[in-house]
Parts: sequence; structure tokens; C-alpha cells
Amino acid sequence: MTRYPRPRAAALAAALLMFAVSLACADEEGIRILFRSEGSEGGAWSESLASALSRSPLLDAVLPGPAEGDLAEAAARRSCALAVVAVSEKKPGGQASSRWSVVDPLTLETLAFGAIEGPYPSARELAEYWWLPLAQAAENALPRVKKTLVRVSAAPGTVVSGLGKEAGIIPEEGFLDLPLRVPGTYPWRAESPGAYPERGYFAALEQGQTLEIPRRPIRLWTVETALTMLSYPEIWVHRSLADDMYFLRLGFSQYLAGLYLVREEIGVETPPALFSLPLILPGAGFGMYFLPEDAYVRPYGSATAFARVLLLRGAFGFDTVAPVGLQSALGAEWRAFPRAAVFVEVGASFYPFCDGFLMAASRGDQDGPFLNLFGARWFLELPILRLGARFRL
Amino acid sequence: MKANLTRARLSASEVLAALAVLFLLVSCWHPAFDPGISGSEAVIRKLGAPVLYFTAEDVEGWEMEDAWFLPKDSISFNAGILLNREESSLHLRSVSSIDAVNHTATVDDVSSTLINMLGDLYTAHPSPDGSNVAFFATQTDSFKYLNRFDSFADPAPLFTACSLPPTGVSTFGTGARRNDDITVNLIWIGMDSTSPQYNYIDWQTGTPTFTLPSPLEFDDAPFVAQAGKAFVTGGGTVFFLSCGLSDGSRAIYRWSDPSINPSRFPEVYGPLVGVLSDTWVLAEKKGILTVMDNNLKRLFSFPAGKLKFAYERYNTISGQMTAVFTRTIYVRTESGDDRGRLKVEVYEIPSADLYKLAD
Repeated sequence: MTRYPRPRAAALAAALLMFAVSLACADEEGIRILFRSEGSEGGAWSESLASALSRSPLLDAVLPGPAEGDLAEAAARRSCALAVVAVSEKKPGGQASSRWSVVDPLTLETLAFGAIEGPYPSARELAEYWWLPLAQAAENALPRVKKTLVRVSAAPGTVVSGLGKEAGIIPEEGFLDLPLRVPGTYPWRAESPGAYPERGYFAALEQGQTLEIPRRPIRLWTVETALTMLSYPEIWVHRSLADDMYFLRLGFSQYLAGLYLVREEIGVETPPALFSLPLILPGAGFGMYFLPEDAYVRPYGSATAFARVLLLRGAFGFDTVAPVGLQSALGAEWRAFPRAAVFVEVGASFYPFCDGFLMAASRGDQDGPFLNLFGARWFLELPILRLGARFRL
Repeated sequence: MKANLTRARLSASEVLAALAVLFLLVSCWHPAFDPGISGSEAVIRKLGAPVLYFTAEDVEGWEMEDAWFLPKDSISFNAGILLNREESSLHLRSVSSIDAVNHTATVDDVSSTLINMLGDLYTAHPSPDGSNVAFFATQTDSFKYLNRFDSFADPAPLFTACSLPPTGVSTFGTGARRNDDITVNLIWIGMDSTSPQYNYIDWQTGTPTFTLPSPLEFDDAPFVAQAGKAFVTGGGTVFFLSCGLSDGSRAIYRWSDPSINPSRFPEVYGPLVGVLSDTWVLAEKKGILTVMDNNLKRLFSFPAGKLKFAYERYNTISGQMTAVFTRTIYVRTESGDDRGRLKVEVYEIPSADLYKLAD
């Protein structure tokens, strides 16, 4: 077993630690370098080389290369920006030399080469000084392998995540160069004020690729068509707010035309399937999405206040049995097409200031999973199911 | 490279299955809205406060959707009958113990049943003298006189059959109309074995007794297929008949003289439901009550809805003929139980002021 003096041992431990750290980071994205130390000297030279390269702030990961074979090819396979080879020898007279070269793994171009010669270094000298010329040469070579960066093109201010450790913000120039391991497939997501979030998968197959992120400005107006309880058509207009996370809604539901499908009963006249009641319910409401637009299914909640307007000859106006109501709902929206989404929601209607008894009588006896509660001046019915589609204008 | 926007999609079968489940669940849903109730509210605002209202709890809820309260003809309306029609029968229950102060009442579970061959166009009228007796025309071969309706329990009331004038008749229409401050006209229009006939009497109380009928000129008699309502005004010169015909249509016939063929009118405003003492004619269609003059010319309409014209009476205090309306609403109060709460309101308006209800 080789024994080292204490200072040497400490330096070696530090070098090993840094080497270990660099290995731990090896799988992360960033600028990576593959190195191999050859020659007559032992593992301490290899470890000191790794330590010296790891100290460079421009290099994100330092990976040991295979002992044999083409180092440049290995570096290309492992998406490394540089391949570094050092061959060290002990020379007579207490001298030592290290011949090194820095190679672009894709083009196989030797970007820099040289030799370090001098008295045989001590362990400390080896760890701290010997490899400085090589580390400097590697840093200097990096700009010449700029093709390891990918370009993300998007509207200024767009925040792009998924292509690095941290989200990147597209500057005024409209693009951002990001170091990216190639080849690789990256899920990405982009957010831009005033636009819908975008997401996708970037297949980075070669150096220098550009990811063009589209920008779909938020459409402020949406038309909603729906069927109350799958029976009565209704129409609403939505005004998007706060980057499409909130919305105001205005429109009406109606019972002038709808489907009413009941079982035939002996002795009871079966009502027509196309049913009509002289009531419209104009209203206005507010809603909030719980997930952004690019979610697969987008849950939301809404609350709508509405009036009940009788269209009955001789009784036109607010329905005095229940002039107003509140409907709250939880729903889920699924964007089937870029400008069209279907939704289903379940809610409840609450009628304050009404004649609860008359409302209960108006509701009548019905089969099905319906619940009505009432007091002297209020009435609650649930569930209210709605199914429909929303179309962006 | 363009952005690769990928979105997972639901399969068509998943979407269809979800829709089918939803559809099955909710297709029989009915909105919490009844134009009959909401429409009547508009009229009730014009009628003012009810002269009587009460709530009866724990009322049996069988076939109560179209039930209505027929109050006795008295200033206090302190008794009456709850009528609910089933396919070919009319069920009667006594409404007693009406507390006009606390607005409560009791509806007997014990009921009596009459065969009803006239659908919604049957006649039920309390006696004009204010006693607990009533006249019913629900069949085409006889009238019924109910000797008491304050209770259908022990002792059970008696329904006395009042034979129609000729035997072996076919009935075209029956009806009751307030004639004056004392009597009600009970009328029958039909046919004996050979020719159309009519007969009416002035009824005050007790078992009505019809005399021999008189001939009626009516060439369309062979086409009458469904009996309806009949009324007489003008001291026995003007007759109305609202009935169904063999081709499926309905018509109103008006005689200005029983010896002359009637004029035929379509039921534009629905079947006749009453004729007032001042000869205004009432028709109802889809909850809209239309008032016409004696020549069946429309005067005005209003959305009566659940507000039912019960009868016309003579108000001894005001000295006016008064139209009586009742609104009867039932709500089942316990799920799975056939019992609930009944709310009844009785309204009065001078017959001459009916136009104030117009839209």
C-alpha cells in the first residue's frame, strides 16, 4: 500500500472528493468533459487531472474516459463538449512531462495541445499547479465547440423550463443558447405573459438545433354552449382574465326548448320529448381554473348569479316564486382541439328570497339522483349537471 | 425545429360511455319551475290577499299533482272537498277543521270515489245555500248528489244518483252555472233515443230533480264523440256546449234559440270551464284563462295556472256576484313516503272586476 505524507494525503482526499462530486454530477445536463490520463505514472496523476479540470467554473461535469479506445468517440457518445488526453512520463534527472491535447469529439479537431514539463511534482504541486496550463487550454477551447449549445427561440420574456437545471428567460434578442446534452429528448414547458403556456418534447438529435417555441396569444373571448342536465341548451360568453386563469361569464340558460325523456306510465300522459317551459335565466358569473391551460384536464370552479324571467303572457317579468338564484359548480375541461374544449361540470343551485314551498312544488316528484331542500324562503337543488363545449373566438 | 405539441386524447368509446351514463341519470330531470305556479303568482298579486288559506300536514300524496280544493259556498269557506282525478275516477276527501286563524286544516285519509267519464270537464259544485252538500256530474248517465262532505268517515255520506231526464241517453255535456243570488243552473244536453234534448233546473239544495227534457235543434249531434261542458244563460234561451267530435277536433256550440241550429266555434282558447251570471264565458287552455262575452268574443285573458276557477257565488256582504278561485299545492315532504304538505288558498274577486286580472 502506498503511504502518503499527511499534506499529500489531504490534497489527495480533496481531489478524490471533488472527483466524486464531479462523478455525481455526471448525469446532469451542462458542459461536460471526458478525460484520460495515460503514461507511466499512477492513479494520482489521473485524480489530480480530474481535480484540476473540476475547478474550472466553465465545466459542469468531468468524466473519466475509458482506458482504451477512441476517447473522442466516447466523448461524443456521452454528449461531452471536449475530450482531453494527457500522457505523463517520469524523466531522468527528476524531471516529468505531460503531453496533452484537447479534441472536439464531433469534428475530431484538435483544438489545443501542448506539454507540461518540469521537476517531478510533489503531490501538492500535482494537485494544485501541474495541470493549470491544460485546464486553461480546455476553457479556452470551449467557445470553439459552441455547437454543443442549442438555441431556444421564443418571444422575449418567455420562461422556458425543462431544458436545464433552472428555467431560462428569453432575452430581448428572442433566443437563448442553452447547453444541452445531445442526443437527448427533453420535455419542456414555456410560459409567456399574455399567451397560453406551451409544452412539448424537444428531440435534440444533433448539435446546434433550434427549438422554436410558438406563442399563441390568449384569446380573450370564448363562447360556451352547454346542455343543462343534458336537456336544455344554453349559451354563455366568457371573458378571460389574468392569463386565462380566471374568467367572467355572461349569458343565459333557458327552458324554452329541451329534452324531457321520462318513462311511459299507465294512466299518465307521457309528456312530449321536446319540452318547453316559458322561462329564461340570464346571468353573470365568475370562474377560476385550478390548472393552467396546458393541463390535460383542466379543473375549474365557477359561481353564477342568475335571474328567472318568465316569458308567460300576462306574467312577463321576474318569476316571483324565485326571482334570482345562485349556481356554483366544479368542472373539468378537456381541450379536444386548439380552439375547442369540452367540459362537464356538477353543481348546485341555491335560490334565496324565494318561496321555498312553491319551488318544491314546482320541482315536483321526480325519479333519479336528485336532492331538493327547502325552507320558507330558500330552496336548494342538486346536482346540476352541465355538459358542453367552449369555443375560443 | 418546430415545437412538438402532443396531447393525449380520450378514446371515443370512453367519451360515449361517460355520456351514456350521464344521459341515463339526468334525462328525466325537470326544472324547478312550473308555469302553472309561477303564472298564478302574477294573478294572485292582482287578486290581493286570500280570503282563506291553510296548510294541512301529513296528507296522503296519491295522485295529488292536479288535486284542487272546492270550498263550500259560504262567507267563511270553512269546509270543502279535496278532489283529485285519476284516469277514470274522481277521488273526494273531506277537508275539515279549517282554522282560519292559525291557517291549519285536516284532510281526511278516508275518501270516496266517483266514476268519472268526463276527464277534466266534470262538474263539481257546492250548493248555493251554504250547506255541506254538492252536486257532481262525472258520468254520462246520471248526476250525483252528495248529501254531506264535512266528513267521509262514519257515518259515510250518501251519493244520490239523479237520473237524467230520458233513459237510454247519450250525454253531450253537463254543467253548473250560478244563476242568481239563490240558485245554480244545472244543465244537461244530450240525446234520447231519437233526437237531441236539453234540460236544466234551478238548484238550491237537496237532490236535484230534472223534469222532462226539451228538444234541441242540433244537426251536428251525430258527430259528438266526447262529452264536455254545457251551460245555459239568458233565462233558458242561450246554450253553450263544449265537446269533442268524432274527427278528433273540439268545438263550442252556441245556441241563441234551442229551436235553431247552433253556431259552431273552434276552441281557440280551450274548452269552456264556466259561465258567469253576467253571461261572461270562461275558457281555459294551457293555464291561460280567457274571458269571452256571450257571443264568444274574447274580452281578456290572464295566466291562471294553478289558480282554478271554482265557481261563482253571491257575496251577501258586498251584494255582488263573486268569482271564487282556489290554488291547491302539494309537496311531498318525506322521500320514500307518500305523505306531504298541502297548501290551499282561496281568493275572491267581484265578477265584474275580473278584467283587472287581464294581462
